[in-house]
Amino acid sequence: MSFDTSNNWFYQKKGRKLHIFQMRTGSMLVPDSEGRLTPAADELIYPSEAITNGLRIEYTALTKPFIDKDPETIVESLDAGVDGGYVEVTSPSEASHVNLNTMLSLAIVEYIKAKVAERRGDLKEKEYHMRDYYKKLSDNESNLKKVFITGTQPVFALK
Amino acid sequence: MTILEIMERANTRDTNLVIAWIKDAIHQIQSTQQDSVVINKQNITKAADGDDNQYSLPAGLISINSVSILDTQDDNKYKIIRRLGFEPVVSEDTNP
Repeated sequence: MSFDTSNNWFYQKKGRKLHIFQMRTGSMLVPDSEGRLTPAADELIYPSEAITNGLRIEYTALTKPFIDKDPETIVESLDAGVDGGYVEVTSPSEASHVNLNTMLSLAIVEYIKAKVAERRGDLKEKEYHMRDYYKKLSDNESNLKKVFITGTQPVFALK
Repeated sequence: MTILEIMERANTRDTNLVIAWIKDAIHQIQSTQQDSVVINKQNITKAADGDDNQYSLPAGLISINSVSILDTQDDNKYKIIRRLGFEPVVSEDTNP
């Protein structure tokens, strides 16, 4: 029975592996073989119990980069293949849609312009388009947030 | 936006190269933003030997948002765990 997992479990990422550790809290209550109550320190151990679906990793991935419909005109169905949803295109053609909103698609246009300029050896133009690329990425982020700023009114303010 | 529309805007005709660049760009976007978040769950096994604390990262992973462990004593909630900031002492005691 796992408990207080946010405080008792830890992880490390090493290459393509995730190493999981569990904290075992020390105690002074159990005497050793000679009857001495020696303090035992907290220690990290490997998982001491089996937990079904116990490990959950939330991550970003390159999922469905190309699809058969415009992603901004339909709502994605969680079940693949259901009518109304879109289906991943594994062999994309010129008619395939990029699975991104319009702002990120425009950012990709700038990215490709930068790559074309780089192939020509025009690094100045490449930097120009990469700057536009990052600007559109940040625009896409800020479009999702609204910040309200209020200021206090001075007591004797004249209007 | 279709691949053709992107090619027309970027004034290029090499379809395969553009598809490869689009994948590169999406990969870079996913490294810094959370446009497509995926969940992976794995069974935790009771450790019996030296590498039983190792779990494979999911295929296609670009960046980790969080790692959680199921708390079975608290209504089966997944609780985010912390990354270990130091290298733990390893004791390979086969008869503890």
